[in-house]
Amino acid sequence: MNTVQPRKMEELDRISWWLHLSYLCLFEAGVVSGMWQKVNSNLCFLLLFLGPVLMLLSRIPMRYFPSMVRQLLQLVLVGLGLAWFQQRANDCPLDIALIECSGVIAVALFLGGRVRELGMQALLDIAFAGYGGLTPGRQIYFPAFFATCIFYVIIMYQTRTSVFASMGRTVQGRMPRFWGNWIYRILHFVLVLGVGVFCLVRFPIRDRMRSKGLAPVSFHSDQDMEFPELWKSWFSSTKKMISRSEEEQAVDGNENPNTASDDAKDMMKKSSLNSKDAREGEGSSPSLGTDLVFRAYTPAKLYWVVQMYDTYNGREWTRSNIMTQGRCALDYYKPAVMHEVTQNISMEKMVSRHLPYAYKASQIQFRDPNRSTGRANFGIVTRGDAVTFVLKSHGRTEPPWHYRVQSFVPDVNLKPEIRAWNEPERNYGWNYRVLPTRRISKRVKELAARITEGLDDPRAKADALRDYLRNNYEYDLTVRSIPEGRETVDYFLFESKRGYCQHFAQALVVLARLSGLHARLVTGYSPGKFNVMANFFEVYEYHAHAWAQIFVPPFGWMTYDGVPPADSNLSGKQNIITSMLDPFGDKWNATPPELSFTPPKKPEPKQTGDIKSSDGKETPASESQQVAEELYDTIYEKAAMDNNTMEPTAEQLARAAGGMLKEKLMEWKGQLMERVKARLHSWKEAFMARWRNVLDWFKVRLWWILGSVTALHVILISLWFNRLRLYRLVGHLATRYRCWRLWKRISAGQLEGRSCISACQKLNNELLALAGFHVRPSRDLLEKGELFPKEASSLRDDYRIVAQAAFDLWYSPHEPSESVRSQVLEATIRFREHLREIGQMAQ
Amino acid sequence: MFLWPTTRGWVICLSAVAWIMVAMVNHALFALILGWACTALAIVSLLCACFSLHGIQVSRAAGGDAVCGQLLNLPLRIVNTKWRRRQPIVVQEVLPFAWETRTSFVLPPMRGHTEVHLEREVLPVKRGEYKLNAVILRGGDPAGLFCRRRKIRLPMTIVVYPQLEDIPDLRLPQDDSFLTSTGAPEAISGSSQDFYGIREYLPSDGMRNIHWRSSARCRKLMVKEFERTSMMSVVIFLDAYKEYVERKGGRNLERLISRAASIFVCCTEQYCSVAFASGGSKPVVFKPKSANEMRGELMYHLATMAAGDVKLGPMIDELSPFISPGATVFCLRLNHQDKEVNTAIASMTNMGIDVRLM
Repeated sequence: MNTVQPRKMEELDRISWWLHLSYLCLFEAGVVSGMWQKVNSNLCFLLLFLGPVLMLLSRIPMRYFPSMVRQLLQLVLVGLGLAWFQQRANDCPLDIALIECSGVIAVALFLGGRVRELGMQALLDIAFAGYGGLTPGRQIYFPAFFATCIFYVIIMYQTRTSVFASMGRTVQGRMPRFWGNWIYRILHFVLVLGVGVFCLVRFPIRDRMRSKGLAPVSFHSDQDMEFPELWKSWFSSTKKMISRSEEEQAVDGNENPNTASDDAKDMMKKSSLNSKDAREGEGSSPSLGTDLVFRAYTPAKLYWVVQMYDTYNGREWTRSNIMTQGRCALDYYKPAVMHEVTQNISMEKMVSRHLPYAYKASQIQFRDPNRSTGRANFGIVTRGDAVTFVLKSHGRTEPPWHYRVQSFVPDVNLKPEIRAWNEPERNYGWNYRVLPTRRISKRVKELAARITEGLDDPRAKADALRDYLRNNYEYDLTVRSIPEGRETVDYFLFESKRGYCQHFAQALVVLARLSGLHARLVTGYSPGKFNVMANFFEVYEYHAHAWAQIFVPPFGWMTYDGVPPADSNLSGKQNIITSMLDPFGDKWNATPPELSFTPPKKPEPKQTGDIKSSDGKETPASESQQVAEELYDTIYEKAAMDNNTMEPTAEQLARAAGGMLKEKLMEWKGQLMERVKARLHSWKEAFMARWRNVLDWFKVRLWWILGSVTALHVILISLWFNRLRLYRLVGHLATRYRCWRLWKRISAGQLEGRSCISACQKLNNELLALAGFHVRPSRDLLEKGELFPKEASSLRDDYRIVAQAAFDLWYSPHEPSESVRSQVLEATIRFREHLREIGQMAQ
Repeated sequence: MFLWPTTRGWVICLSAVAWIMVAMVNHALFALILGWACTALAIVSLLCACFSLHGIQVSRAAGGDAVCGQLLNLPLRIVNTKWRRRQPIVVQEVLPFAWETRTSFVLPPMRGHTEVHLEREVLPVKRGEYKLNAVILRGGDPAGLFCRRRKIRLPMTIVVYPQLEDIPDLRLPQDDSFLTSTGAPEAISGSSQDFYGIREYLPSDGMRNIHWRSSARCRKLMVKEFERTSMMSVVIFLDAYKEYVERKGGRNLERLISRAASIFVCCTEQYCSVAFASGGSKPVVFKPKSANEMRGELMYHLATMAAGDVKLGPMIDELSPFISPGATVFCLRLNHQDKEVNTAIASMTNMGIDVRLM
C-alpha cells in the first residue's frame, strides 16, 4: 500500500512554469489567429511582445511585487485599452476596435498571475481565434488556429484537477505525476479527433444556401463584402516605422507588367481586343503568368466575360456593329424569371481596362476607396459597347480595385413558351448565325447535321454539340499553330483533333451556327479557384479562357464550354473532400453554369387554408393540411353526435378529441399486440423447426456421435493418465529443438563475441539435460564441472572451458577476445561430439 | 452519483451549439469544423466522465481524536478495484471543526488493482464532538469538462479536545514529599515500605521501583506502589455561565476551557488527585480521583461543554466538602465580580487552601 502525503498549500498556489508557458503560447497563438493582418499592426506586435514580458513579471514573488501594485497596473492597462477603443471606433469598423481593446485587456490579465485570470484570458484567446475564423483566408490563420486549439487542449488537461478541486476551497495534496496522466489524455484526444472526423463526414455542408446567416462578418459592416486590403500592406506601417523607409509595394509577381508601371501603356497598345486571330488564342497558359488577376465574391460559379466576337470571316473573329451597338434583340432578351447574382470583385492586377463580369450584367458600380489608407482611387466604369465594360480614370490608378456587378441568370425551371408565330430567321440575330459559307468546308456542315440529327430543341442541340467535342477531342496546350491557308475549325475537327480552348470555342460556335443556333465567341476567364476558407474565387492569369455562348430559349444566352473538363464528375455527386474543396460541385459541367445557380430560399409564408402566392392566386393546400382538416371534421362530427348539438363547445370538442385519441390508442395497442404476438409466434415456429432439424440430425447420426464421443473420452482419459510422460516427452522434444536451433546458429557463425559464448554455454547445458545429467539448481556454473564422472574427463574439460569463458563474460567488464571465442567454439564442438558418442554407446 | 458540466464544459457545449447553428445558416466551413470539434469534445468527455469513478472503494483508515491547534490526520484507504489506471481524483469532505471547513485533497493517479493510503492533515480549530458523514469524490474526463461526483457515506465520530497551553509557572505544592539522596522528590510513588500494589509507570517514577515481572506480563512498565503515598491534590473550578461569555465566539470561555484542560493534563503527568466542577449547560462535578482515572471523562466534558444557565457558585459549594486543606484550587472564572464565587473563594482561603484565580 502506498502512503501519500499532501503538499503545503503555498507551494501549490504558484502556477507551474509549464502551465504558465502554455497560457502564454495560447495567448500568442490567439492574437496571431485573430488579429494578424486584421487589426492595427503596431498594436498587434506590441501585444505579442508584451505577453512574455508581463508573464515574466507575474512570476516575481508577491513580496516583491505585491498584488495591489499588480492590480493597479492592470487597471492602467484596461484604461489604455478603453481609450484605444474610443479612438479607434471612429476610424474603423466596430468589431476591429472591440477586438483591439480585448487584446489589451487580455494581456493585462497576465499580470495577476492567478489561475482564474488566466482562465479568463484563455476564453478571450479562444474568442480571438473564433473571430479570426470569420475571415480565415489569411495564410497564417490555419497554423495559428491549430496552435490555439492544441495549447488550449493542453491547458485543459493540465488544469483539470484544479477545476474539480476548486469546487471546494483549498487545494491540498500532491500534484499527480506528469507521465501517468498522458495515456488517458492521448486516448481522449484521439477519440475526440475520431468523433470529430466522423461528424464532419456524416454531416457535411450540403446544399448551398447563401444567406446573411446568424453571424455575418463584422457586425453587419461593409467588411463582409470587402476584401481585406490589410492583408497585403498590413505590415507596411510597422516596417516603415522600424526601418524608416518607404515600403515598395510589390504588386506584381514580376511576371508581367500591370497598369501601374510605365510599360503597361505600351503593352495595352499592342494588345487590342477588337479582333482576334482565329489561329492564335489566349487560352494557352504557357504564354501567361501565374499572377492573381482578381478575386470574386459571388454566390454562383460563372464564367467571367471580358470580350465577345460575333463575326467570323474564316481567318479572324471581329465584332459587328449590331452587337457593339446592341441592336440585336437577343442582346437585351430577358427570361421570364430571373435571379440576381451580385458579385464583388477586387482587381489585383490590371491586364486590361475591360472589367470581367458574369453574364448577364446589368450594372457595374465602382466601390468606395480604401478608407484606412486614405488614398483616393477614382474610377468610372463605362460601357465600352453593349457587351463590355471599361474602366476610365484620370491619371494612374493602382490596384486593388473594388467594383460590384449585378447580373441576372435565368431560373432553371423555365419552360419554353409555345409561340403562335415563328420569328423570321434572317432578321432575328442574323449576326450570330452568319458564317463564311465558302470558307466552311462541307464536311464540317455534314458533321453538324449528323450530330444534331433528330434534335429539335435548341438546348438539346447545344448539349449534343458540346458533348461531342468533349468526348472526341483532346485538350492540348502544345499543339502547333494552324497551317497557313487552312481553315481553323476544319483543321481542328478533322486533322489535328487536339487543341486548346480557342479551338474548342471556335468549333463549337461554327457547329452551333451550322445547326441553326445563335452562337458567339467569348473570351475572358474561367470561374477560377474557389478558396473554400475565405469563400471567394481566385482567378489567376492562367485561367484565361475562351468559350461559346449559345442562345437557348427561354433562358437566353448560355455558356457552353467545349473543353473537356478535367476530373469532372458529371453525375453531380460529390464526396466530402470534393464538396469541401468546391461546394459548387461539378453540376455546371453537365449543365450551363447559368442554370446551376441555386438562389437563397425565401422564408415560406404562414399557411392559412389554401396557400396564396405573391400574385394573389390561391394554390391547393398541401397534403398535411388536408389531413388536418379531415381530422378536425371527424372530431367535430363526433362532438356534435355525442352532445346532440350542431355547435359543440371547445370543451366538448376536447372531450371528443380525447375519446378519439383513446380509441386510436387502443386500436394501435391492439395492432401492436397482434404484431408482437405474430412475431413471437413466428420466432417460436422457427425455433421449433430448427430444434426439430437438430434432433433429426442427431437421430440420423446417433451411433456415430456416440462412438465419436466415447472414443474421445477414451483418448482424453488415456492422455490424462499419461500426462506426465507426455509432459516429459514434450519437454524433451522442446529441448532437442532448442539444441538444434542453437547449434544451427552457432555453426552458421551468426553469433559474435558475447552472444556466441552465451549460446555455447546454453547449448552445453541443454545437451547435458538431454543426456539426463541433472544438477541441482543450487550448484553454480563452475561447480557443475566438478560433478562429471571420472570417465568423462574430456567432457569435463571441455565444459569447464566454456563455463569459465561464460563466467568471465557475465561477471567481468572485459570483452572476450577472439581466441577465447574460438576456444569456446572448439570446446563446444568437442563436447557435443563426445556426448553423442556416449549416447550412441549407451544405446 | 452525479454528473454535471463544469464552467468550461458549459462553454464548450454552448460553443458547439452556437457554431453549428452558425454553420447551418451561414454556411462556412470553418464554423462547421469548429462546431463539430466542440461537439466531439463534449461527447467524448461526457462518455469518459461517466466511467471515471467506477470501481473506486473508499474507507476510513484508523485515526484518532484531535486536539485544537494540532494537526489531525484523517487517513483514507482508497482501493482501485479495476484493472485500468485512474486519473487524479479529488477527495472532499466537510469538516466543521477544521480551519477550512470544506477541504479538498488530490489523489494521484492510481494503477490498476492498487490501494492507496491517503493521509489528510487538517488543523482543528473548534473543540467538540463531531459526526463526520460522507466523503465526496470528484472525478471526470481528462479535459475537465464534466465533473462526476460520488458521495460515499463513511460515518465517524471524532472528538476535538481543547487546545493545550504551555503553563511554565504552574507549580503544584507537594504534600509530605521525601527527598532522595539525589535530591529529586520522590513524592510520586511514595517512600513507605508497605507494599500497596502495582500501577502503571509514570514518567516521573523512579526506575528502581519498576516491577519487571508484572511489566513483562502486562507488556507495559509497571511500578510498585507503597501505602504511604504522597499525592498532590488539585481542584479545578470552571465558570461557564452564559451571561459572562463574550457574544462573538465566546473566546473568553474557550480560553478558560483551554487553560483548564492544560492544567488537568499537567496534573496527569504528575501523580495528582483532581476534583473538578463546572457550570454551564449542566452542572458537572467530578469528586477527587486520580487524574489518570478521570482523564477520558473529564477531557470529553471539556471538549463538549457549553455555556449555560448553571452558575459556578453552587458547584463550588457542592464540591467544597471534598477539598482537603492542602489542595490547590484553580478557579477559572469569567466575571471577577461574581459574589457567590468571591464568597466561596474567601472561605476557602480562610481555611488555608491555596486558591489561584485565573
